[in-house]
Amino acid sequence: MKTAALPERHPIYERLFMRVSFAWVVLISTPPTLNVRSLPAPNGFARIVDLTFLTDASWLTACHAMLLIALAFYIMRVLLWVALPVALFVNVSVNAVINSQGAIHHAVQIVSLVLLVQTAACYYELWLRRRDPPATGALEERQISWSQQTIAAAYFVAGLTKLIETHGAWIFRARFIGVQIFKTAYQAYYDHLDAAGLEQQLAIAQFAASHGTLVALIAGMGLILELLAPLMLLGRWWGLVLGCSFVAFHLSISSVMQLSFIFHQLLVLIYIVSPIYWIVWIMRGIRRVTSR
Amino acid sequence: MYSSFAKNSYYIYLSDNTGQPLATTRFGLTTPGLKKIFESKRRAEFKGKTGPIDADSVAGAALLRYLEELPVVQQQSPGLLHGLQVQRVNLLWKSGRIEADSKSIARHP
Repeated sequence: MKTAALPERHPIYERLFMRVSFAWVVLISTPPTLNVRSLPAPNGFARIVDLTFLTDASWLTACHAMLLIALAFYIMRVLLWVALPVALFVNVSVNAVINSQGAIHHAVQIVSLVLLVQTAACYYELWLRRRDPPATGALEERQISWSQQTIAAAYFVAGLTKLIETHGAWIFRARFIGVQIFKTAYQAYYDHLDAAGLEQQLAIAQFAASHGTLVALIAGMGLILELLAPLMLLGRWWGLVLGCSFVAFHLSISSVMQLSFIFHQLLVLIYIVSPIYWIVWIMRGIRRVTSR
Repeated sequence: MYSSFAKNSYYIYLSDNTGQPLATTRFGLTTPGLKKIFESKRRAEFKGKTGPIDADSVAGAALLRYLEELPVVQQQSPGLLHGLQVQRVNLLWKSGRIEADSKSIARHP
């Protein structure tokens, strides 16, 4: 059976880097302890499956141990058809419990999505194997490709949502961003009652409130970047330029609005920018030049 | 980034019985998380109700009940909850300036 050609192959060191890094991201995005007693507002997966058992510390510890084993198998690429669903179940379940407290956030959503498409790619491969034995490394290439597409889609959808939600007036409404900066500055202060940086944040908020047009233009650049996200899939150079732009975009928002979206940044670095590839590329270039 | 922006917004924080702010992390939560929980309690209060209701006070009281049950809170001295207040700060964009107005909306007995 013929299947769609997979894009450029990734060298073994890069694939290993991606596996280890992604396993680490899954681990840090799945808390081993929770400050919850119940699920007062079941959300997402918790609306389908009763996850109350995860409020019991012993069950949570057992699930975390299962996750560690599954991720070790994932790194070694052993029994992926078991390891990936287990990792997905634990990651989604624990985060569904967190999101079932009445406070929903989507900071981890991208990690669960990438885990989901990697699981889907694994089962797709099993289905393909019924006819023809797949080429060596085809599954991992498919997992990388689907992960990259998922990351690009997450950004594109975020941009599209802004336009749909505001009927195209997002940039116009962005002149009120100062109110949100003011709010997030105080929210960050009340987290620890740490006033470091508060005055500066409030000054930025007041500046943004009084210079709405300028702020709207800057915010508009972020929106355009999100809508350009699919271009990251065109090749390594596109991935490098747009991936670094996204990380810079996140860092600037993080410094002003305390919204770090750290998992988005990490996944862009792992699957889109892939710094290990460029480090090796530069080192090889230097070696070629010096050996002449 | 936010999918939409408005002229007005608000945030919630906790204070002791004298009105002195308390770090939200003492309750094992973040301040944005605290607001989201308050907001969901507030929405629940509006659901299926007719006529005037003081949704803020009811949601504030529900938030205090939620805090009581948290494992992190139960591990601390019961004095933490005595007189605990939920403060709401309303923000409004007015002619290029941001104005803030705060009030206590619920108090733990």
